[in-house]
Amino acid sequence: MKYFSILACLMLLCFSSCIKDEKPNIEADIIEVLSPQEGILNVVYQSTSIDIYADPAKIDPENITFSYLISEGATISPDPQGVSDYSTPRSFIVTSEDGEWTKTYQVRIIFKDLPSEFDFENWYQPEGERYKMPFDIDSESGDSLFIWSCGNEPYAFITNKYDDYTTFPTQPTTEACQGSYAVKLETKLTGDYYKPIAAGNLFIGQFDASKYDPLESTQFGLPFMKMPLRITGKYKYRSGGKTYHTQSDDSCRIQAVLYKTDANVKHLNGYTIKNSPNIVARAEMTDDGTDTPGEGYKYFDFEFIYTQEIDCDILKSGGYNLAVIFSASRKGDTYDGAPGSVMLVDDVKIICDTNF
Amino acid sequence: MKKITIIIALVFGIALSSSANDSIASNRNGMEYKVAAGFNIGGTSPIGLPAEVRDINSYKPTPNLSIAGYAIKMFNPTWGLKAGLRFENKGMETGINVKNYKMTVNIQSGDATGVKTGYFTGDIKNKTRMGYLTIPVSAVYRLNKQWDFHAGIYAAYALDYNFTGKVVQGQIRETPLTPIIGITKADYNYSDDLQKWDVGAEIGAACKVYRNLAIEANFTWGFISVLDPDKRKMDMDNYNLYLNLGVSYTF
Repeated sequence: MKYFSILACLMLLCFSSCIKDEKPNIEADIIEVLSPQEGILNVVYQSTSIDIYADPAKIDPENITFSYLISEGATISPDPQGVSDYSTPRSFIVTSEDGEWTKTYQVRIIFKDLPSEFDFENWYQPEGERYKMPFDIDSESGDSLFIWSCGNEPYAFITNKYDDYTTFPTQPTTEACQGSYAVKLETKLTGDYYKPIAAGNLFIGQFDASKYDPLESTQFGLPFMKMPLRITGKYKYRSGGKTYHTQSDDSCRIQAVLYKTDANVKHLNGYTIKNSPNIVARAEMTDDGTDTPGEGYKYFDFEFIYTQEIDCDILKSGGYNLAVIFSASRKGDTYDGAPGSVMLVDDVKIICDTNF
Repeated sequence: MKKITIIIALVFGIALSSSANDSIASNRNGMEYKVAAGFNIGGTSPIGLPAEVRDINSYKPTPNLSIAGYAIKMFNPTWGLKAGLRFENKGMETGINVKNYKMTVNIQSGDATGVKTGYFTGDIKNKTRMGYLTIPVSAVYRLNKQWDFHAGIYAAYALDYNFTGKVVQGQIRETPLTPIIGITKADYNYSDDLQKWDVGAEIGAACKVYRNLAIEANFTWGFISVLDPDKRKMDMDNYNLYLNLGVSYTF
């Protein structure tokens, strides 16, 4: 056995000595907006766009320079240090170290907070993807706002045989109670060994698929500068039956959370959404989320329960984030749910205190 | 290890009892017959690791048994020819760390099974296990009554072949332009991409230690990459490089 080990070590040594110099990197990403630290409320990274939510009191869009963390060895053009006017969206081309891959990013500053009414009428297909996502249109500027996220992206990756957006957990439906479209959330089996369920879900924030831990992938919330009192809307739900893991009856969930951001807490994730000390108010489904009666939609109206005083000045400068989360499976965050649970949502409104 | 020892003991027990009174067969027109058993240690290893491999985390030889029978024809006291039949396993377990390594993972359960190809960064744990029926042919040089040396070639047909593994704690993306997906675990199985045939060279020695009992060492070097370049989903040339250590009995 001793000789066996010696031989094994020799083999290992022999292999290790063969490790070659690293190849030029093939990545061409903007990984992070590094600076300035001051005045940036939140950054939403999409595949080729970066939306910087900023505080208008601290950032002048015509005189601001951002610096970016890009992939190792990659180059960015034009040099961000020479770009100081972001009053209109700016494009940057990142080229990988090996020169084979280029990615064009569009960076824009958004001074607006979230809209407070969502009708899910507008849908787009992200570049190179097979699924559709809802977006909102700013009523004043006409700009598209990409505030909703879900787990469609990793689902697309692990289920490459599907090329139709109607097979994804999050999709548009014409079974709307107002306008032409509503959002349809359906819990699916994914086939991945260790997280076999993809809950139909939709939330305000962004999904960082690169995280190993799925509970860290969901980054809930974007800046909201009004004081929410109630969340209303319409939904329809059909449970898929027993959940995959715990064999309990599946039910849906609607929740909305207002929380304070600070240097450490830029967003809440699947862990911190439950009990972060930064949470100031929460609106939660009051019933048990079982099947809605009849064929039509059911109206919901949930009150925000405040557990902390709200600071009006901080609120107006974008220091609070709002997260709204819909899930066709109540335990979807822990990858438990019943395949076939379907939730439709439409006509969502955040009723705010007009005195603020 | 214990198992191997028992099997070797059994093989030789039978061999010894059935030929207890045989002497060295130099008087049978130069023909000798030999049975051998041993184990293979080595690697189905990439010759020239791909540059995407950044580190070797672990290497673990698996118990690879071999049993063989040979016929040796000595043309004169020094030179002869050896041919035979060998059943043997070749295999190993390795852990490597890769960066942007293009590979395909199988998703094998659920309602969305299928293969997924992408650039993977992270750790790979690989298991190779091949069961070969090998026909070696070599020239024998007899130094003296105690030492035999041989060198030759072999052809092997895989009766059993497994090339499986899993990717762990890593990130994969379809192309550098698509989003990065974090994965905790995904399996792959490239068994069907393996070549059924292996052809290679071997060189070795036998040293008689007690009467007709000898200890043997034989190094084999496969010339054919075990992953079929036309089919494979992992860009790597792996060759069988194994040292066989064992004992033999000459009738």
